[in-house]
Order: sequence, then C-alpha cells, then structure tokens
Amino acid sequence: MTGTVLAALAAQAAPFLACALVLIFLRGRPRAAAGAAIAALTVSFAATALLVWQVAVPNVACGTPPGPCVTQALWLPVQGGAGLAFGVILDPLSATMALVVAVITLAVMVYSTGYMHGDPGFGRYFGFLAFFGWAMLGLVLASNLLQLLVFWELVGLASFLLIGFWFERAAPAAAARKAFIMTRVGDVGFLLGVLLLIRALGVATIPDVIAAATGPAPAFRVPLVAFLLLMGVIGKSAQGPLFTWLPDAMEGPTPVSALLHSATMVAAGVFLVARLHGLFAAAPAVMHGLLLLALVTALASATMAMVANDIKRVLAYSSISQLSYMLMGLAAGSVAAGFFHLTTHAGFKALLFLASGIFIHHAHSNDMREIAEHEPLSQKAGVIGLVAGSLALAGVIPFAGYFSKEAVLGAMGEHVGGVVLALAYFGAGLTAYYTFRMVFLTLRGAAAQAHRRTDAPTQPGPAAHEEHFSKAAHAAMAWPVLVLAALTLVLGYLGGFFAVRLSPALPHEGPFHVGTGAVVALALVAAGIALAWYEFGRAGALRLGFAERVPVLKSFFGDNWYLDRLYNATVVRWTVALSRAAKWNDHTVLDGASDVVAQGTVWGGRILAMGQNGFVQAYVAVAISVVAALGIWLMRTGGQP
Amino acid sequence: MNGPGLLTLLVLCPAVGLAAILAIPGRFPKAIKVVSALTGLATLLVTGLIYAKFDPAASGKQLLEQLPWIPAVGIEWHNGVDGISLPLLVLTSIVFFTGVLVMWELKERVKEYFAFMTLLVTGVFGVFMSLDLFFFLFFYEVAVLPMYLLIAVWGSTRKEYGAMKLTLYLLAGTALVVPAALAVYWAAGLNTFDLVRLGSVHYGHTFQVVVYPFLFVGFGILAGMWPLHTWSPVGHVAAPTAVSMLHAGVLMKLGAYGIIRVAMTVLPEGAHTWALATAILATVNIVYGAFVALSQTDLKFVIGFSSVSHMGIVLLGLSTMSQDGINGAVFQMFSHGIMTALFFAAVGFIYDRYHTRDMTRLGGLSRYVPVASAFFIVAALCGAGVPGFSSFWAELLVFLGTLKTYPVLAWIVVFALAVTMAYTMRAIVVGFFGAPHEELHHPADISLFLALPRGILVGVLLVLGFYPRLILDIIDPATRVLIGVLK
Amino acid sequence: MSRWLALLPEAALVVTGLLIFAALMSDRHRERWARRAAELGGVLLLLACLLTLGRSVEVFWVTYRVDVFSQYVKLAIAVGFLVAVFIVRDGAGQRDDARGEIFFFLLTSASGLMVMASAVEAVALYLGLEIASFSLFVLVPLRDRFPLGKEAGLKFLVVGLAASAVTLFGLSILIGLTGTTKLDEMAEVLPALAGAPAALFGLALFLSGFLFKLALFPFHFWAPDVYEGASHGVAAFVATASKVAAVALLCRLLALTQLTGTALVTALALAAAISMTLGNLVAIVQRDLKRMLAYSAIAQAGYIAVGLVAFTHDGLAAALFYAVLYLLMNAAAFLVVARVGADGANVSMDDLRGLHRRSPLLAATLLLALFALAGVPPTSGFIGKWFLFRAAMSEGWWWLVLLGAINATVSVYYYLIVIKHAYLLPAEGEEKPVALTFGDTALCYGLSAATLILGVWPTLLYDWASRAAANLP
Repeated sequence: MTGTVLAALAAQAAPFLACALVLIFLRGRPRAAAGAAIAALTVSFAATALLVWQVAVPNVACGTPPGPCVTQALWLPVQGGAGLAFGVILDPLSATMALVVAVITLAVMVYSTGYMHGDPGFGRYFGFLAFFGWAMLGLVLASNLLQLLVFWELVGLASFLLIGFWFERAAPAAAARKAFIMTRVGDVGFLLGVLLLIRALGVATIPDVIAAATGPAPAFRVPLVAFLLLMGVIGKSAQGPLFTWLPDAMEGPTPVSALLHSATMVAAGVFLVARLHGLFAAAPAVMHGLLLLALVTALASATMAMVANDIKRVLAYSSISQLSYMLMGLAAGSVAAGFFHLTTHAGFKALLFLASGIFIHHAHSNDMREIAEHEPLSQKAGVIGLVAGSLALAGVIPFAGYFSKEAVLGAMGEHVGGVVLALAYFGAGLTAYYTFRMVFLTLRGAAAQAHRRTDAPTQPGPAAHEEHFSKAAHAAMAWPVLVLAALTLVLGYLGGFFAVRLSPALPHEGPFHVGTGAVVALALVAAGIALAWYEFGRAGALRLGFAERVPVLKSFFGDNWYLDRLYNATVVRWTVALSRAAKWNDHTVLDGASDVVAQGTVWGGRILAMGQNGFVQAYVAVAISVVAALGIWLMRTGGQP
Repeated sequence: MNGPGLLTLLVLCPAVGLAAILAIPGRFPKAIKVVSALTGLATLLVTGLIYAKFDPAASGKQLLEQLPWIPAVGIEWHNGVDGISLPLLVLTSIVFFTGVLVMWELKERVKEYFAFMTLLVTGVFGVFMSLDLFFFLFFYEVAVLPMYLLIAVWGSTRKEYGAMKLTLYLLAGTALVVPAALAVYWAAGLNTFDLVRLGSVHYGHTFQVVVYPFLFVGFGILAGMWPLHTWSPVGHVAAPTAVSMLHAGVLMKLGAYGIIRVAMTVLPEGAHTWALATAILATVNIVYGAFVALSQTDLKFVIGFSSVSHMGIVLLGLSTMSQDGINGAVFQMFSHGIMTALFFAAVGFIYDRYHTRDMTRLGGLSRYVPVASAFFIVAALCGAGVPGFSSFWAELLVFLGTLKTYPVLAWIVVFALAVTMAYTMRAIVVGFFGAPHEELHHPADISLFLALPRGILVGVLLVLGFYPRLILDIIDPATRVLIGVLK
Repeated sequence: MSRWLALLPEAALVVTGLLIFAALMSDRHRERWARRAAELGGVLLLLACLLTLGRSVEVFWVTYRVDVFSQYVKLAIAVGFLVAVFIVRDGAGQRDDARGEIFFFLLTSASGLMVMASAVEAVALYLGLEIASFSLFVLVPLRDRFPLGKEAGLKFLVVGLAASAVTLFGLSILIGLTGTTKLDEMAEVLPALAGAPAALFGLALFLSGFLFKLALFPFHFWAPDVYEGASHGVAAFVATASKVAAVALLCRLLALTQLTGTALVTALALAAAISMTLGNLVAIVQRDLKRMLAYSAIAQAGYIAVGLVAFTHDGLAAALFYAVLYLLMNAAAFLVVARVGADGANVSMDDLRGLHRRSPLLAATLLLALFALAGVPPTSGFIGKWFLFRAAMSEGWWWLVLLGAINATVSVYYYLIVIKHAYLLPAEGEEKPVALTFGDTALCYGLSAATLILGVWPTLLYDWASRAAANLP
C-alpha cells in the first residue's frame, strides 16, 4: 500500500513544486516555465497511471465492509472528536479520476505551448495550470471532506485566475469575478454541510462519514447535510439556478475552457456526489430532487446551445447538459453510469474544445459563421477532432459518448419512468441536433461563402500571422487533438470496468446492454442529426435553426433564459442597496452621532465659559451663596446626607 | 519571585531603540532607519528565543518574572506568556519589523516618526506580557500616546480628524476600563493587581454582571466592536502605512486580548451572562462590516471595514466560550494581524506611487505593477477565507465553535462569507484587473527591498495556511486553561 | 541646640530674604543681583530642606511642628520656589520698576506657605495663609504688557479677601465650639461633636480659604483671570507651590476628625465633580495658553478632591503624592509658556505653531507635561490619577471615579489641540527659534525626567507621601 500512497503524494507534490517554481522564478522564462510544468504533470501522469494499475485494475479494497483505503495524519485538532486527519484515499474511483485529470491536464499543457505561444503572460499561465493540476489532484485524492473542501476552493481559485488570465480586458475580469462569487454562493452551503458533519461526528473522514450516514441512527440530519453539500455541487458543476457563470467563463483561454470548464473542474461536483454516494443515497428525497433539477438543467442548456453562435458557448452549454446527465445517472443510483459518462465526457469535450481552439486560433474569432469563412477545412487536425468529438457528444455508436450515455439512460430506466425518462431521451436527441448544428455551421463554410463573401468583414487572413506562428506550435496543438480523438474511440469500451468496480450492486449494468432504450436513443440521435443537416448542412440551407426563427425563443434561449437579468434585478440589486444603506448609516448616523457628542461637549464648554463673565461681584456672590447653601443644608439635614 | 528575564528584555528592546533614536541627530535619517530596523530585528530575535524556551505542552503561564514595584498598593512587575499571548508577541515583532522596512522611503521628520513608532511597540509588548493589571493598563495607554501624532503628522486623508477621533475613542474605552479594574481590585480585597490572583477570586454574581460590560465595551472599542467601531476605518485611512499596519494589525488585538486576559478570566460569570449579547454584537460586526465594505471605493476604507468584519469573527469566537471558538479567535487575531498588515503594506506602496487609493481611478494595476498588485490580491484572498491562507482555518474554527453554541448566528455568518467574497472580488477586479488607466503615470514595479517585508508577511500566511497546527498546538493548551476558568 | 537644626529651612528663608533685600537696595543691576540672590537662596532652601529630613521638633509652645509631613510639603515648596525663580528669569512681563521685587515677594509667599505647612495651631495657620496670599496680591497687579493685569490683581484681591473672611468666620466657629486653637486638641474634641452641623459648617468655612488657594469650585473664579493677568513667573508660582501647600493643609484639616458619612463629604464630592467637569469643558474653548492651564488647574483640583473625598489614609497620601507630581508637570508647562512668551506677552495657541522646529526641547517638554496633565502613561499623571481614583473607589465613590475617568478623556481633547499646534501646524511667517539659557535646558530635562521617572517608578515618593499622611494631624 505504501508504494501507492507515495505515488499519490508524488502526483500532488510534482505540480505543486512546479507551480511554486514557475510563479516565483520562471515567470519571465516561457520555455523553462512550460518545461517545468509539463515535466511535473508527466510525473503526475506516471504516478496516477501507477495508481490505476495498482489500485483500480485489481480493484483493491480495505476494511470491512470493503471500502476505500485511507492513509492519513492528524491535521487539525477539534473539540469533541479525534480531530481532522488529512491524507489520501485510494479506490478505483479516486485512482481513475486522478488519471483522467492528469491526462487531460498534460494534454492541455502540451496544446497550450502552441496556443499560448508568444503571450506575454506565458510563464504565469503555466504556473496557474500547474497550480490547478495540484489542486485538482488534491481534491480527487482527499481522504477528508474538509481537505476536499480546501482543494475544492483552490480549484475555484485556479478557475478565477485562469478565467481572468487576460485580466486587462473587461469581459474576462468580470467573468472571473462572476464565477468566483457564484460558486462561492454554493460553497457556503458546502462549508456549512461539512461544519455540521464535523460538529456531529468530530471527524470528517469520508468512509466514516458515509458509515455514519448509512448507519442505523445517524448523528446528524442526513437530508439537511446532503442538501447543503449539493449546494456546493450545483455551484461547482454549474447546475440549476447557478449555471450562468459557466458560459461567461468561456472568456478564458480556450485550453483553460477545455481543462477546467468542461473536462475536470466542473466535473468535481459530479465527482463529489460519486465520492459520497452512500451519504446521498441515504437521502432519497434529496436525490430525487437532484435528478429533476439535473433533467431541467439538461434540457434548458440544450435549448441555449441551439441558438448560440459562439462555438465555445455552444460547447459550454453542452458541458452543462452533459454534467446534468452524469448527475442524473448518479441520482438514479448508479455510480458507474455517472462516473463512466464523466470519464468519456472529459475525453471528448476536451477534444472538442481543443479542436475548436485550432479554428479560433486560425480565424481569430469564436463566431462559427466567421470561422466558416476562413477555410476551416484547411485545419486537418481541427476537422478530425471536431467531427470525432461531435460524434461522441451526439452519442453515435461506436464513439465513447454513446456507451456512457446509454449507461446513464439505462440506469435511469431502472429507477424513474414515464415522463422523466422520455424527457431524458428527448434531451439526447437535442444534443445530437445542436452538436451537428455546430459542426455544419463551422465546417460547411463553402455554402455560406457563396452568398456571403461580398459583405464578409475583412479579417486579417491566416497568412498574416502565420510567420510568427511556427510549425512546432502547430504540431503542439495538433498532436493532443489527435490523441484525444483516438481516445474517444477506445474509452467507450471501459464501461464494464466501471460497472464491476463502482456499482457492484448492479451487475447486469454496462454499456452493451442494448435494449429498446438504445434503439430509441439512436433513432432520436439520427433524427437530430438529420434535422441539423436539413437546416444547416445541405447546400443552400438557410443556416437558421427552427428556434432561431422564433424571435421570442431566440432571445429567451440566447439570454440564459433571462436568469442573469433576474439575478441582477433582484439579488444583486438588493445586496447593493443594502450595502449602500449600511454605508450611509455608518458615515452619517454613527459617525454623525459621535461627532454630535464631540460638538456637544465643545458647546457645553462655550456655554459654561459664559459663567466666567469677569464681574468679580458675581464671583464672590456665587462663592458665598454656595457656602451659605451648604450651611443651610447642613442645618437642615443635621449633618447627615 | 523570579527576576527579570527574556520578557523584560523584550520590552526593553524597543525602549533602548527609542533611546538610541533620540540620541541620533535628526540630520542622519539613514542611521535612524537602520537603528529602527535593528531594533525590529532584535525584537524578532528575542521573541524567537521566547518561542524556543516556551513549552507548548505545559499549560499555564511560562517565563514568569515577578518583582515588587509599589508594594504599598500591590503593584508588581509581573510578566509571563502563555499560548494566547505568545503568538501575539510574535505577531507584534513581525509587524513591527516589516513595518519599519515598509517605511524605508520616509522623508519628513524621520527621527520623530521612528521614535514614536518604537514607543508604540514598547507599549504593545508590555500589554501582551503583563500579568499585573496596573502595568497592563499602563502599557495599554502607552500604546495610545504616540498614535495621535503618528497619524496627525504623517497621515493622509482627513488626518487630524481621524487621529483625534481614534485617540478619543480609545481613551474613552480606558475610561470605562479603569474604574472597572479598580472595582475588581477592591472587590478582591487582596491589595494586589496581580491578574493571576485576581482571577482566583470568586466575585459576587451581581458584581460580575454589572462590571463585565464595562470591561468588555471598554476593551471592545479598541477591538472595533459595533457600533463603536467608526474610529477604526477613519483612523486607518488617515494613518501612514506602517501605522495602519501596526494599528489594524496589532493594536486592535490589544482590545480582544484585554477581553480574554482581563474580562473573561476575572469575571467568568459575567462573561457567561453576557455571552449571547456579545455574540449578537459580533455577528452584526461581521455582516455589517462586510456590507459597508461592499460599497467603498477607497481601498483603505475597504480594508478598514473588512477589519471590522474580521474582528467581529474574533469577538464571536470569544463569545462562544468554547474550545474551538476561542482557539479560532486567537488564531484569527494572529492571522488577521498579518493579513491586514500585508493589506496596508500593499496599498501603501500603491498610494505612494499613484497618490490615490480610489479603486475606480486605479484599475489594471496588475499590468504595470504585477508584484505589488499580487501582494494586495493575496491579502484579499486571505481575507475572503480562501484555503491555503491562515484565515481559513481560524474562521473555520470560530464557525465550528459558533455552530455548537449559537447555530443560528453560525448560519448567518457563514452565509455572510458570500458578501465577503463579493467585496473582495470587487476590490480586485475593479482596482487591479481591467484596462489600465493610461492617463495615470505608471511607475516601476515594487523593488526587491520593498517586496521583502511584504514577502515575509505572505510567507507567514502561507505557512500557517498549510500547516495550522504550527500555531494551534501552542494556543490550544492555554485555551483549555481559559475554558477551565470559564466553566 | 540640635533641635533648632530642624528649623534650618526657616533660617534659610530668613537669610535669603535678607540677601534679596540687600540686593534690592543696590542702585545698579538690582534685578540681576536680586535674581542671583533668589537663585542662591532657593538652592540654600532646598539644601536646608534636604538636610533636615528625618528631624522632628515642636517649638513655640507647640504651635509649630516639624515632622515628616511638613518636611514633605516644605521640600515641595522649596522646589516650587526654585523652579518659579528660574521661570521668572529676568521678570519679563512684570512692570519694569518692579522686576526685582518679584523675587522678594515670591520668597515671602513661600515662607508663608512653609509656615502653613508646619503650623499646628489654627491662628498660626491662618497667618501663614495670609502671608502667602498677600505677597501674591502685591505681585499680580504689577503686570506689564497685558491690559487686564491690574484688573486681575483686583479680582484676586477681592475674591481672596472674601475667602479669608469666610475662613476666619469658620475658624471662630471652630474655636468657639472646641474652646481651643491647637489642632491636636481640636482633633480630640471634634469627634465628640462629629456630625454636629455647627462643627461641620465651621470646618467647611475654615476649609474654604484653602479651597480658594486650590481653586476648587466654588472658589475657582479667580484662577483664569489671575493666571492670564499675572506675569508668567508669578503665575507659575501660584499654579505650583501654593497648590501643594493648599492640598497639604486640606489633608491636615480633613484628618482632624472622621468625616466619612457626613454631609460634608457629599458636598466635597459634588465640588470635585463640578470642578472636574467645569474645568475641562471650559478649557476646551480657551485660546490663551495660560487661561487654558488655569481651567485645567480647576479640573486638576477636582481630581485631587476625588482623592480627598475618600477620607482614608490612602486618599490623603494619594492627594499629597499627586500634589507634588502636579507641581512638577505644571511647572514644566509654565516653563514652556514663559520661554515661548519670553517678551512677557501672553502666549496664544498660535504662538506655539512650529515649536517642534523652533525648539524641539521645549516642544518635547510641553508634550510630556500635557500628557502628564491628561494622565497618559508613561508620564507621572497616569499613576497619580490611578492612586487618587484607587483611593476614591475604596470608599465606593464609583460614580466619582467614572466621572473623573471620563473627564480625563475629555481633557485629552484640548491638550491634544495644544500639541497639534506645537507639533503639526507650521509657524506663519518665519520660524524664529526660541532662545534657551543653560538653566532653562537643564530645567526642561530635569522636569521631563522627573515626570517620566515618577511615572514609571514612584515608589519612594509615594511611600514618603503615605508616611507623611500617616502621622496626621
């Protein structure tokens, strides 16, 4: 066991050291910075691979009943409990997730050497990436809920720093701020949940927490805690009411979107649910609520993806909806299905972002229609990546997405029925539609160019900036894309691996359980693709979706269902008003009061000073009369007061 | 009866430094700065020795020194440290040393400035080590004496108003404390001001209930207790950089320390009776401070009100009367001291260079002075309770303690964290991100020498952020003793 | 023979008097000669007081006693006299033909005070009081460079006479009731009629003469006009030495009988409260430094009364102790006034502007003196008030103590305004440095050092004061 523990520690230590090294010493030295970061992640990759080999593959388990293996040391003494011990938790879940994180991070880093080539903040960028790598691996391998919360916040910090990487532009700065505050709103609940747990148990080691939750008489109100923890999940995984930060987060560099805002960080919420599935399962009502929320989010974000023209925003909305599918799988009780989908999604969504990054980099625009006008087909790697990724996302057999989505839908079929299931399937169809809308809009530029060449805005053609963009950089961006594209073809066959390890309870579960469900799903997907082809793909198509034709829908879908407006009109406004009131109170009422006291004292002095009127007769008169009064008083009282 | 030892040496360090500074003619500012820096170094050294000799395992006061001073009235030179005062001594040395370095560029009236500053620090050390009620208040007011001039002469915005307000508020606080202290002295009837022996007496319930508020409010004023906090933002804004550092970083802790060392230790029943009230006040502090900070535009005002909010967390922790709560409160005292010192140091540099602190007139600073901005951002994140910085643990412990004693208040303050994050983000994004204002004259980034003190502060925040037990293991035993008294 | 050695101070007084008299006879440089003689005499007086420490004697048919108490007071008076002489320097601000006389009359006043300190017989006491006062009645009107000097002198005279008339009346009542003029015998008789209104009233009236010297409400009215109207040196003497004597005598008389619980105590407490509050509040709005110091003196009298109200040994000791501290800190303040207004004109706040450049030493002295008056450590003011309040609290005068503490806070406000002028505001026009003689410098350092040392380590002085208080009456 110690070997694996050391490996786990090494996997975290390497990126941390790299981050410190880069941020402190190498900010000015791009090559060295990138080198250090990539080297560190290679170490992490090797270490996590070892973990998978040693832990996940043989399906190692500790204790009775068999559970994750925990190695930890006391970190924070707290009253009424053993105190909080931090360490590493090792089981197939954490090991696999760690590997996913390491792989994607590494790929993105390599890709970034090309994409960020020549950026003034190159060194800082890799420092931040390494920081994220450390925080994310720490989150995955955390053995203690509080420890997990710590890294949870740290990945949030990384997200803030990376979204706002181009902080000089207003939009990224605002997006970073929005992301940090919105996720913090959810995290407040998470924190409270953890505090309640610690207060109740004195410890927060994950297996203990689950044991306590599933035990006969839990020491804490399980549904309450589950709900509070879910607040964090909703914030981090951009669900329900708190998702609007994710589309804005696309203001960050594209590789960042690939790494944090689709593949790994936003999946942390899903991972947490999987990690604590025992606890959540003990609160069925909450789980059901989560399922419904996820369903709504999935459909809503799909509709938004249908009308967006910014390729990254399309992908962002699809990320939200895919996260919802993962959560539905988990909520339906199958860790395997949800986590399987997380894994495959990490692969193909990162692929899609990186591929779109190639086009964006090439066309200097996120707008699919403008990309279409800059010979998109000239970007071979990009095309391959985009198509492969889209097929996977749409869920076309035999690409990875198909299997995992089938697993999720299948798992749902076990538990929920009727409308909910139908809507979930319908969502799959929508996914296929907006995915291929994207593909056609981006790649089928030729048709468009025919009648739009004339009024096309004159972009600085690719050639203009080719010269300072080396071949090596091209390769650096091409290879990760191709590797991930290949992955999308193989990942799908790992379903059985997850099934037996993560949901032993449901043995028959797995990717190849082809029933009516699969057929229906495939049919819907086909329909979606066909509609997309009809509206966007075929020669002479209007390239205008059915939703886009209805102005109401277009603006409603295109504007995050007006949620941001709602928030600005209510929560934000009230908060600002309240703070203004508080400020006024402080500067006017409280300060005013103290000033009044001071002024009053001074005035008291002025008034009393009038008594000193300079008339000596008055002086003597006062003195004598006071003495006389004293005398009378003494006589009256007989000397006793 | 042990003779004078390290602690006396510690309080003598700045005193000797003061004498040396006064001896140097004013026309050698460099020499004066060097001497001050050496004084700071010496205090660091001595605190290091104290830290080395201090045994965390042993509970109770250590390094005791006791010799009669005015026997007729029972005043003794009686010093000692425990796990509560030791971190604060360390804090003081760090902030003092870094504060001296931060002011290295000072031009006008250098001699007087550093003289007053060292005098101030002498007082602070005295308070944190004194176990005699008389000397406690003696040093407590010594720390007040130079404050007016430090702010009024070397300060900025509305400096005379701010200085006068601050001084009067603080002295008003002592005006409440002194009679209460004397009342305790006579009620004990031991003819001694020895805090340990005063603490061993059991006072009548009514007496405790009546006298405790005097002590709590009296000290609370200096701790920035709502609604008597208004001196602190105004004063901090007016004060020169290092004075803001010392004042928000260290002096506000004097108040909280007074509450622990005098009010709660001597009048436990009073503390229990008033606990709920003080807890509610503290909650108001936290929420109110955060909301006011949200709509400030002067960076120093933002920090000032964030201090009000964070000191509220200290007071809340104390009000819980629980192990975790008080541990967290003391930890927060230390951590907030370092953090806010870093805050003011960072803003100080920006103000020196840009001559404005209005975040709406700044903006995009990270482009031109990335390192200097990074210091502010680090401090801000620490203030927002981001893990990896010490404040996170401190606040966590306080919340844990509160959750046990006052669940409702705990929910309120935890949700207030969102507001904290909001004003932190606002300051960072408006002031340091976004497009740089080209009309501003952008200076060179902070020099390595000036970065050094700020770097030290960041280091402390990070080290404790990663391994809180480094300090908690020292605080914990002392807190247990205090809890024992409060039971 | 040796018992007469105890009277060395009195002898020194006589010698000094003759010296100054002789000096005044000389027709050339009479001022300078008189000044030298006064300085020499002052030193002699101080030495004499020091030499006689520890001796005790009763002479003149037990009307005049030398004991710890009287020696404590005399030493203070000697210091006060010497300091006053230094502050007077060339007598600037006094009428030119009367500059030399300052020293002579200061000496007579001092001798009056010393008699008060040692007299244990009511009539002798009264005589001492009158000698001390009348010399000042002469000095105050001889003011130059201030329009209201004479008027101030007149007010001083009238209020003073009124007070002494009241005192005399009280004395007669006391003698009538007790049938004796010796304080010791009174002390034996009075407790029998303790609480008897007549006795209390007589005592109260008798006290009023000394309350007048102390400028406690309701006998405070003269202080502002006189401080403002008298030349700096004279004002300094009025503000320091005679205050100590007044406090001492109040202690001696209050120790005569156990007054706790009687209406007199309540009356004194009220007087103290009113004095503190009134003095501090009115001082806030003053512009003339000496006038401000006068009101602060009224407030300080209030603080001292807070100590006296306790009527315990602690209280008397604290009052005696604080009187000496007050003498030193106030002398420092007046020294600064006299030097800044070296031409004899009165000093307004604005005259202090830029003092920290014009004379850092004076500025620092002023800083310490004012912080001491305000009662901020490490200056002696803090510990002095601490002892006063401690004593009052022992008898449960919590409201008086609270009021005193709050008043101390209020007082900080106007002391800080003065400090602001000295340290913060630049001088308008060119900054002309303040000339200091060696004596001035030494005095600045000496008084500041005393303020600081007594503030940190008052043990010896306080023990002495409490021994002095112990063997009253």
